[in-house]
This record gives sequence, C-alpha cells and structure tokens, in this order.
Amino acid sequence: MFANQTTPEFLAAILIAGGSLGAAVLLLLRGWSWRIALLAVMSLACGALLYLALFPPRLPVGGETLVVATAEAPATLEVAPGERLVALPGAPAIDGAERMADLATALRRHRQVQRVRIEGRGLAPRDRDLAAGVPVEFTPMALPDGVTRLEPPADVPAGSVFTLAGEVTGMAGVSVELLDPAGRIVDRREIDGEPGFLLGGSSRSPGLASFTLRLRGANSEIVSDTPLPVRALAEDPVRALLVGAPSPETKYLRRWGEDSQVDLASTLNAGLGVDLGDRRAGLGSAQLREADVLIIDDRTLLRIGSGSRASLARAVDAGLGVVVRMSGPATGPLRASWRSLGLAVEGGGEALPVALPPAAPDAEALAALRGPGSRDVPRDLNTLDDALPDIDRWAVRTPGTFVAEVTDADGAMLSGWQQRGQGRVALWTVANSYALVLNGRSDLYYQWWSDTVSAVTRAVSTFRPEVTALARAGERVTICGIVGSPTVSDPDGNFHALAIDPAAGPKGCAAYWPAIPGMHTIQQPREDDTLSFDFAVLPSDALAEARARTIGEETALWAARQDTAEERGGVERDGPAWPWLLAWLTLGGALWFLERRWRDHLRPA
Amino acid sequence: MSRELAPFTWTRPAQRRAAANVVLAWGPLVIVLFAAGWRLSGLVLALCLLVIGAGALAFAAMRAAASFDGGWLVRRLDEREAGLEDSAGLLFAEGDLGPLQRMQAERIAARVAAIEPATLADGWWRDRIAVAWLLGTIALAAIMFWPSADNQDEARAGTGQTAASGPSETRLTGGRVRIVPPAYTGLEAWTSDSLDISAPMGSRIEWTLDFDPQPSTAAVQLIGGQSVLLTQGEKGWTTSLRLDAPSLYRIDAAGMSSDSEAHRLEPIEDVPPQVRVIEPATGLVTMRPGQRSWRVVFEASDDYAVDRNARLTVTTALGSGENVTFSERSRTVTGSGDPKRRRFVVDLDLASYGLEQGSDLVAQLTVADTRSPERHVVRGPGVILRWPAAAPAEVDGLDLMAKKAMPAYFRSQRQVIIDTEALIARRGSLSPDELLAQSDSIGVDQRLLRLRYGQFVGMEVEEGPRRPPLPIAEKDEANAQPEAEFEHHDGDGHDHGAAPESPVFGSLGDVTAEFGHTHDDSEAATLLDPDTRALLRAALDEMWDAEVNLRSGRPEEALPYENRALEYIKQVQQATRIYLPRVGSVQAPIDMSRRMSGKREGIVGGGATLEPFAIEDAVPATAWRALAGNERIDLAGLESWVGSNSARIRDPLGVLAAVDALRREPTSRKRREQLRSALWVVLTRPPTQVRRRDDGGELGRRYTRGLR
Repeated sequence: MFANQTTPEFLAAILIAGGSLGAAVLLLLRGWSWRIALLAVMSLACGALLYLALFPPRLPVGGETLVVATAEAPATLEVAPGERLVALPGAPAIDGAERMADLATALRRHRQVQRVRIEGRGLAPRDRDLAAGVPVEFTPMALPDGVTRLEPPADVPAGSVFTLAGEVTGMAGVSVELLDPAGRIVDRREIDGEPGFLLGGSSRSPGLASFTLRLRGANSEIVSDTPLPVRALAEDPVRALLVGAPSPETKYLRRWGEDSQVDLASTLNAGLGVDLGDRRAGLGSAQLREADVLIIDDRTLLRIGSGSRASLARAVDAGLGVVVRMSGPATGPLRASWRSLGLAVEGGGEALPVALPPAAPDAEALAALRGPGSRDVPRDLNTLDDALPDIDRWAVRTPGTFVAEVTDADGAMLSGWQQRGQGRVALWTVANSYALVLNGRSDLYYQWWSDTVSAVTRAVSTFRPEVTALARAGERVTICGIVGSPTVSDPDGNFHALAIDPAAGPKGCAAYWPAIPGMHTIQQPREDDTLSFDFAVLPSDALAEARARTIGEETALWAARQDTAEERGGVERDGPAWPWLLAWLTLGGALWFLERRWRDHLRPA
Repeated sequence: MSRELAPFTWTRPAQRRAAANVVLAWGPLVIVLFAAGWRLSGLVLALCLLVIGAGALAFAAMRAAASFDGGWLVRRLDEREAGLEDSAGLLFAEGDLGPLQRMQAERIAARVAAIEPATLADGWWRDRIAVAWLLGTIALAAIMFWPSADNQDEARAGTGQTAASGPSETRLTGGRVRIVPPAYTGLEAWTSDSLDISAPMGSRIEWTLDFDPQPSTAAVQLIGGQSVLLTQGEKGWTTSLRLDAPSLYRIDAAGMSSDSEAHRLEPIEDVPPQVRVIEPATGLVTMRPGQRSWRVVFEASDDYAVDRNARLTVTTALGSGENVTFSERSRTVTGSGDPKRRRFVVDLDLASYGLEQGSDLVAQLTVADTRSPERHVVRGPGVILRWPAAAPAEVDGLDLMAKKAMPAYFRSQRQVIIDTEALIARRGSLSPDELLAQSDSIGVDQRLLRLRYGQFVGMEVEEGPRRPPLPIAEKDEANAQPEAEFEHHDGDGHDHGAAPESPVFGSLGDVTAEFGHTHDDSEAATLLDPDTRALLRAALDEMWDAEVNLRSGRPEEALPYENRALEYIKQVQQATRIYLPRVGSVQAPIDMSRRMSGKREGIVGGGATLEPFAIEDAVPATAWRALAGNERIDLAGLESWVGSNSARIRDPLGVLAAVDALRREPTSRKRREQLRSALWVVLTRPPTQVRRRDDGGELGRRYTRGLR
C-alpha cells in the first residue's frame, strides 16, 4: 500500500512533518506559556510552507468558463469573474459578447476554457457535431407557446389516409385544424388537457402536396399556419395471387385489386374443378417466386396439404408475403396450418364487433376528404349520417412478435403480421369485411386491405431516400440511401451535386443546404435512366416553436454526453514556487528572531 | 371766450370710441350670420343678412355714440379734474351767466383747455372684442368645415375624376345585364347591375355596356372560349349569349387595359322533379275483402313546373311460389293544382286486373318536368296492393294435430293487457286454482307473442308455431278457419279474437319474412336496423318477465312488464321499415348440349372480367404534378377538361379563374401555387394504393437474412 505512495512528495512530506513536529514538541517540552505556543505554531506553519515551496500546488490553466449565448439568450447576460462570453449566430446583441461563427471556433480560440455554459435556446445542429471536450452546462428554457412538436406522415401511398401527430404547449382552449392544399378543413381537434393531438387527411394522386396545420386560439383567431408537405409515391404494381373459394369477400378483393392497381391473378375454386377466377393462380414454386404477395383463405390453406404448405413456407422464407384470410372461427387444425407458415396465434373462435370510426368530423370535412365523385361513385352517394355496417372480427391472441397493422377505432387488432425469414405472413381477422363496400365505406375496405398487403408484400429495393422530415431553408438536410453521383435540383432549376460522406458507411448519406424554400428533387442517374425523388423545403421561419423545442432537447442530450467525456489533457501545470519560498523565509526569519529575543523566557523554569 | 369752447371737440373722440367698440364687438356676429346664410341657403340670403346686420350695427353704434353729449362731458370733466372745482358746466352753459359765474368760467377755461380731449373717452372694450372675435372665428370655422351631403358627393365625384387613368384609356362606365330565363321556367326577365351572373341554365344573357371614350370595337371575351362581339347601338354596346355552361368572362374593348376583372357566368341547373306518395300512407296495403277500387294519390314537385300529364305504370304479379307471372300496363293520368306541385289522383278499378288471392299490384308514377329541349323524366316510388295468400291447405286427418300445433293467431300485447286487467278485477271471485289456471292461459298467449316477435331478431324458436300463416281478413278467417281453442277453460271470458289487434305490424313482418327471405336464424336480423332490433329485444325481455309472472299466477306483477312491452312494440312499429321489391328474375339460358351429360369443362368461360375503375383526372393530375416544378402546363387542355367535367366538380369556375390568372402571368410562382391549390379540389381520390416495401438496401437484406 505504501509502495504506491513512495513518491518524492510523500517522502518530503514525511521528513518535513517529522522535523516541524519535532521542533514544536521540543518547544512545548520547555514549559507552557503563550510565547512557546506561538513559536510551536510558527514552526508547524514553517514546515507546511517549506513543503509548499518545494511542491507548489498545481493550478488549472486559465480555469475559465465559456458562456455561450445562443438564440433568445437574455440581452443583459451577467458574466461572473472568470467567465468569458461569446455569442453564436442567432444570439441577440449582448454587451461585451464576442461574436463567433460557431462553437468550435470559440473553443479553439479560448483553449484555456474549462467549462462551457450555454444560455438561450440551445445549439444549432452544426454546433452539436463536435465533442466539446469539457463539461457543458445547459438548462433548457421553458417551451414556447404553440405547436412544439410535429410528426409528419412519412411517404403515403396514393389515395391513402394518413395521420399526423403533434403537440401544442402553453395554450389552453385552442384547436388545431388540418387544411388540405385547397384550404379546406379536413380534420379538427380541440386541445384541452392533453397537449398531444392526432389529425388525419387523405392523399390524392402521386406527388407532393402541401397541407397546412392551423392553430386557432381560444377565440377562433388564427395563431399560426404551419406548412406540412405530404408525399404520395407512385408505385409499381404489386403482383398478387388470390386463392380461395368464390365468396363475396373474394369478389370484392378482386375489385380492390383492379382499382388499387394490383396485378392480381385469382383462382376461385367453386368445386369439382370449376374455377371462377380470371387467371390461373397456382401455388407452384415458380409462381410463388414471381409473386409479391399471396392472399389465401384459411380453409384453402388447410386443404392444400402439408406438402404444399411446406413449399409455401419456403417461399415465405425467400421473401413472399402471405395474407391468411379468416373466413370462420379458428380451430386447432387451422391454427396448426398457420403455425407452419410462422403465424403463432391462439384463440380466434369468438367473434366480436368491430368499432368503426366515423368517416369525418363533419360533412364539409367528409367532402374534402373524399374529393369529387366519379361516374361510378357520385359524391352524394353516401352521407355522414349513413348507418355504419355491423362487421365482426375473430378475436385472436397474438404473441409479442406479432405486429398489428390495421386496428379498429377501439384499437382492437384487425390484421397484423409476423416475420418469417425474409418474408412476412399476415392474418386478416375481419369476418365479413366486404360489408364495408356494400354500406358505402369502400374507402375503409380499400384502406385496410391495402395497408395489410403493403405491410407484407415482398421487399424490393426501391429508390426512396431518407430525407430530414420538415427540412427548412438555410438548415442542413441529411439525405440517406443514395449512391453514385446524385444531384439535387432546386425550385429555380439549379443543380447541386451531392457528395456522399464516406464516414456514413453503407447507408449512403450526404448533406445538402437548401437555400430557397420549395420543391427540391433528388436525381440519381442509373445506367439507362434517372431515378428521382421529391422533397419539400419549408421557409426558414416555419415551425419556429417546434424547432426551438428540438434544439433545446437535443442540446440537453448533447450537453449530457459532454459531461462524461474525458477532460482536456495537459491543462494543469505547477504553480509558481517563489511566493511560498518567500513566505517560508519570512516566517523562518521571524521564528529565528523571536527565539533569540525570547531566549530568557524559553529557559525551563 | 367761453363761447369759443365748442363741446363737440370734447365729445367727438368719446363718441368715435364708443361707436368703434360697438362695431368691433358685434361685427363678428354679423359676419357669422352672413357665412351661415351663405352656407345654408346661398348668397342672396347671406347678403340680406349682411345688410340687415350692418344696419343694426350702425344703429347701435349711433345710439351708443349719442349718449356721449354735453351733459356727459360736464360730468366727466367734473369727476375727472378736481381742479375744475365742479364748475365745468359753466363753460358749456347755454345763455348768460352771472358775473361771478363768468369769472369762475374764465378762471377754469384755461385749465380745461389744457386737457387733451381724447383722454376723456372710454377705453377700448378689449375683453369683449377679443371674446367676440374668438367666438366668431370658431363659428366661422365650424360653418366652413361642417360636412354636408352635398360636399361629400362633390368630393367623391372629384376623386372619381382624379382617379381616372389617362385620357386615352377606355373605361367601362356603366353596364346592365338583362337575363331572360327560358320560357319553360315561367320566370320573368330581370335586369342585374352586377356583371357576375347566376341564372337558370339556358337563359339568354343580354349585356348593355357603356364605355368612355367610345372604343372602336368591344367584346365579351369568354375565358378559354369564344369571344362575343358587342355592337354599338343607341343605348350602348350590346350583345347576348345563351347560358349553357359555367364560364368566366371579361369585358374587352379596344384601348382598354387587358387586366380587367373576370366575371362569373354561373348556370343554375334544372332539378329533376320529385314524386311523393300521399295516399296510401304506407308502401304496402292489404286489400280489403270486397274491395273494388283503389285510390292512389301522388304528388310531384319541381323547381319550375311539372308536366300536366304523367304516366302510371301498374304491374301485377299473379300466381304463387315459383310460378309468378308479371304483367305491366300503363296509362296517362292528368294532374291538377299548382304547376310546381301537382297532384295526381288515380282510382284503379281492381276488377280489370284479374287479381286473385296472393297476387300483388304495384302502381308507379312516372312524371316529367317541362324542361326544354330535353325533359327530365322521373319514375316515382311504387305502392303495393296485396291480396293476401290463402292459408296453407290443411292436411286431411291431421286437422286436430295441425290446429293444436299451429294456433293461427296470437294475441296482441294490448289484448294480453286487457285480459290481465280483467282477471285482476275478477280475482276476488275466483279460487286460487282458477286464478292460476286463467293467469297461466294468458301467460301462454304472452309466450306465443314473444316467440312471434322473437323470430324477427333471430331468436331460435323453442317450440310451438314455426310459422303462423298470414293474418287475413276477419270474415274470411272466420269461415275458413274455425277458432282453435287452446288450453282454455270454457267461459273464462278469454277466447281468442278473430283478428289481431295490430295488423300492420304482423303483416309487415310477414312481408319481410316472405320476400326478405326470413329464416328463423340470425340472418333475419340483418333486415332490421340495429335500433329497431334493440327495441324489439327490450320488448321481448319485458314479455319474458310478464310471462313468468303470469305463469306463476301473479297477474298484478305481470302488468307493468306487459305495459312496457306494449310501449316498445309501439316504438318498433314507428321505426323504419324495409321493403324489398318483388321483381322478376332473369335466368341464364340453359345450355342444352351440356344438359344431363355431366360435362363441366369450360363452364366458366375465362372467368369474370372486371371493368377497370375509371378516374378521369389524368389531365389535372399531370398538371398538378407539373405545377410543383418548373415544367410547362397545358392550360388549354386543362380548360377543356374542366369544361367537360364541370358537372362533377363543385366549383369549376374557381379552377378556370386560376388557369386564367396563370395564363396572364405565366412566370409567376404565386399563380402556379394558386392553380395547384385549385386543382387539388378537382383531383379524385384514387382507391388506396399498395405501397411497395423497401428492403432497406444491403444493410436491411443482411439483417433479415440474419433473423431466426
């Protein structure tokens, strides 16, 4: 134990302590008077000063705190001694603040800084990339009033409904409205109590549409309008096989396939070799390899035998999607046949009613949601007051690996899937979903089936770059999922080459700084053609509240990470020794002088 | 010497000062009067007021001056100059003076001569004059700047003239639009001052426009369409147009700035007539025995006029089971009343239709409106007259059994209540056993009723009647089917009546059962809407409780349940009913070559083919996508698409206006955005598409391969 401490400091300390203590004890042995006590104390102090003169205490270099003013920092920022104030871009004018281009520059210029304290909203993304190397202190400001969180929908299929989530803070009795690109109200929510909200809308043909999120105050006055781009993608038709018996469900599934531009081949076995389907949709391995998804009813799946099911399972392993459609209550053999495909569910013998959501909050919103009618479906065919159909679902119990895809208004699972190998197997539990079509809710029928099939269809490589959601002009946009030498074209028609960051690895990411708001297009050339992907850039002042919140939260996370990082190396050095030496000399001189002076008093009595 | 002192040299300054004071103090009033007169009435009155005022002022000034005479002078001199020894009067005295007086006069004459006459006058009325002029100035200012109607008009006219553009630019200075609706509407022509026109389709629109200065040519330019030239006549520039399709137009004249406002031309479409059945009150009527004729009253309404003549189609369905033949006859009927709301009364002679038991007669009215050139023809709802089918034939030898097993009638809930009340009234005279027996017999009735209603909600029939025959008319019934007594005691005052209390419900239920294919299973439940079913269930629950109490001989306790059950049943009767029309079916022709052979090959020829869902919005969708970028837009194609689809779109003119705005400013990004917004409204929502799943690139593929 002592071996570790036999440093020169330790030895010197032992020796000096011994010497000074010895001197003090010798003095005290002579008797007791205030003079002797004073001299003993001075001897001890002298020993301490000698040690300090030999080994002066280490001093931190500079030892300053860097106070970083960011956006919305108070204009009268008090700076304590030993603190240095810098202002980043976006900060207000503060007296005595040094303007810096970014945090990295500030840290480079002031190497003696030992701590950083951030004042204001927080750091911009570019400043959060670096590791500060020193502890960072940051207290987020109170949330601003307004829409402080907005989760925009990802890409939606054409014609699909979408939901968007958000949060309004600091305001009570307000409402949010979703306006479609024509300015009509599609959905509305009152905000009271819970700050979060969900709004729904519907997309149209493929393209980039600009919805608006409108926040209305307690007196219905417009507080803010936030642009909200929604992208509907054009997709290649999915190749689907429909195998089953003729039934209303298969009839309307064929109609769904035709309308939703699914390349659907069907076999509808009416018994005794009579097929009412339009084309031969067999379960041969070649056909299964080519198809993207197979829709099969539970009875047919049971009937085809274990050999065919095994080959089907192999096809699922290789990436095929299967939707098993329940046509009646589940039985033991049926569940066993599902299990061979990787669907491990229990129950399913009991039918429960499906809770259907109302089509829209009001008639105007319904009209906006539906759009104009067509020749087949006039717009006044169904109204909001129409009774909802009674449909049932088979209540199955699902394991944790089962992912619910479609749920009803009460959150009960209507369809969901499980992964098996590269493919997925879905279970459709609605017993008579075609009743939706018969009762004028074909939109819901199409939505549910398209969602279910979209979830399991064979995964293919698509050109769908990941772009920062809600990009703003003047702020960095991260674009991932690109290869080669892509470019971005801005609304003015200028092309900007993207440089893929090798550090991002196989994700293929590049950064882009949009200068102007509007529709930008990523273009990635291939051998024979060019893939393109649109994304919208919002004006730089959009989403100010949400941005403030994000910046605060991310800066707090970043600051927490900096605390754990190791401190800057080589920042301490030995302090100056001469003051200690001087003090030791002075005290030693005084001791010598006093001892001489009080020689008589020190004699033992 | 004393005579040399003339008093007026002393009084004149004072007189002048007094007159000036009066004039200055009251002068502002005169000026204000003058100004007010001018402002209110004109210069003549103002001058009159000025003259009168000036005269009055002069008079007042003279009066004021006149008071400063010799007497005043003496008094003033005496009081002001003590040195005159109160003897100033001697100086200006008339007539001779005594010697002493003369001496005194001469003594002071020198002193008087030393006094400056002007100092004797009163001072200026400084305060009064200042106040008068101040008030006068304020009053003048008020008069000058007080707004008046005349002034406003003048001001507006002035700005109108100044706002007018350069002298060379032609302006539209006035315009009237006369709208002549088509003759068939019966509407009077009217004149509109607005250039935005909304009128019945097919109206003739006549513009009369004034320009200044007169242009060489002028036209009504339909946006995206033709241009109608205006011709100059006496009243102004005129032209006319037939209003057939919604469009926007602009008045265009030589020398006129081209960015004038676009106006709307909106036709109001003719609405097809509506037919309503007034009599009978229900869609299904059961024929009364011996009924010879049947009266049906229809009412047809239209926005302009219903044609006097309508066509009545009478369809008869004869026969029963699968052997039903249909025949259709039609004739013309004439309506009466207000053209907008005509009544068609039809009396059908039933004998001519050869009806028999179990046959139906359906009357339907087809009306037309007076629209030209093409009339709207609408077929109204049908009403059914039914001669109920005979009760099923009895099987010989099984009479007793069949009757016992199938009581023809069940009591109405109301009858059950009446019986129960009667039983309660009589209970004092009955022994407990008798009471129990009679109560039990009412309970049996209650049970039968419950089972009967239970069929409509899909309740399993436990036992008893499978399907009671249709209730039929009282007389026939009595003859055809002797009453089946069932678990009754003689003379208990409780025998089954001949006809059910509420034939409406029972017969309607049977219609549902017969044509709606009611089985005694839950499928039947789909024929009733959920609310009705809930009511019916509630009624059945009450009946069950009533039955339990009746069966155990507690009629008092059963009574509240019975009453509640009746209430629910009444509500059910008022609920919506469903009728399924009885129509003939078209069977596929029988393939004789295949018949009885057992061959199945090629039964289904290639399967059913589906017609693709047609969304006719490729044009706007393409334009909508192109507008997001910088691509060129086919505006003419878009316009013609809007023209051909205007019936489907809610506001086609809004789209046309946006197209026109973009055409005038082809490079404006704002206009492109506006057109894009307008196009969103016309885009049809396609059926939800399937989204292809992304495999997540090389990384994602490796991940899923690694999954177990």
